[in-house]
Amino acid sequence: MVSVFLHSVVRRSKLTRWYEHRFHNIPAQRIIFAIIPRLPRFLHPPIALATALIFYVMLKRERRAVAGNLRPVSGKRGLALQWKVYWVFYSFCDLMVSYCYVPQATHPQLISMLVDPERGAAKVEQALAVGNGLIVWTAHVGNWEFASRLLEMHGCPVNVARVVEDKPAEIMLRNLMASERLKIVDLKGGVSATLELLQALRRNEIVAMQGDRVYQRHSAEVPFFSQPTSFPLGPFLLSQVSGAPVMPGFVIRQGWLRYRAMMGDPIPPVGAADGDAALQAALSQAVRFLEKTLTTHYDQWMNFFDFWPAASRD
Amino acid sequence: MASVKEQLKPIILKSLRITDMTPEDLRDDQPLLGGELEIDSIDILQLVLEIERHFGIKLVQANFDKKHFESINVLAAIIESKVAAVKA
Repeated sequence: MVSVFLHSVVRRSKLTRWYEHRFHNIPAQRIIFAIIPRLPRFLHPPIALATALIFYVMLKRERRAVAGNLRPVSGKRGLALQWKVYWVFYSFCDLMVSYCYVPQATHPQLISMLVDPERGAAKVEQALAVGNGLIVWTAHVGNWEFASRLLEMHGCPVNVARVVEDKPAEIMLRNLMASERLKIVDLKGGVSATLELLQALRRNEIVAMQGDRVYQRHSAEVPFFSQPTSFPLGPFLLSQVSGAPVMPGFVIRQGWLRYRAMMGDPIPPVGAADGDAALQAALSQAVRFLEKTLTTHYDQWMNFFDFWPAASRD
Repeated sequence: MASVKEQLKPIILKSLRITDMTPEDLRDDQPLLGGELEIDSIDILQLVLEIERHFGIKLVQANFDKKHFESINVLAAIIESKVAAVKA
């Protein structure tokens, strides 16, 4: 039931621009995809170190935003903080280069990129066995594209819900990832996209959503690193309607193109008759898992905009 | 017993949290999408939840389409057919 409580926590959020720089474009991506796969792997990390440094220096606005985001998360200041900011840029290099390998990789190849073959598969299988589908709640941490390919291995289609911005570079990356097993559902489709996701869950499929950016007006504030922070409620409402549990999960970089899957415990769907406090509690549970993950892996949190606008001003 | 349409109208207002209208204000041919109700991608989940709970049906299944939210008339007809199928 929708009650007054949700009204008090729901905010009509203005859409944020995720980055300002001009390098997220097709020519830049073509350069990466043309050069990197032709180079021996041992050259990738030093090239990434240099590239990350160049972008760290050039992208002043993004650098400041990342510093503002990492300050409350890491508790670091000064050079120690800047060092971690630099590593966020490095992690982004890893993510971009992974597009050369991850979309076409076979399942054994993907497994070989994991430092630990245990990838929370049993938890996923257990959730799917109930028959209501599964919502995987992820974030802009580590390598979310790798995560969606890992989910494919469970034999059912994976529906990745995301906002595909009207930029050729974004569309190129979407097309690169999309396959028979991995379907990108553009949330700009509005009601049609929601119905598509609900139907997918009712076919016992997986829906993957990034939960750390508010794309539209329905969100709730929960504590995140001691600050009230808005997160989208969509995944939890979808869970409530479909009966699918929400499983927080991330793929964390553990070296150059080496990863570890970290899956949280499934969050049961909020009952149809439960109040909004239950929805907010479910959201809090997922956010706590993100917080726990970021405590040690904050240099892989790739939000190049002011996550808490006031935090990056000082 | 109230018709499906009569039951549906208060559900729409409740799930969309519309407080400045009464069920009588909603026309049978009232468009649900793109009209003054401004139902968005999340509102639709709240509406589906309330409808499914109230009528004891699974509204959104394989053959369900956005067009079924075209108007209260169309939605009520779908609900009626689903309710009949459950009772059969």
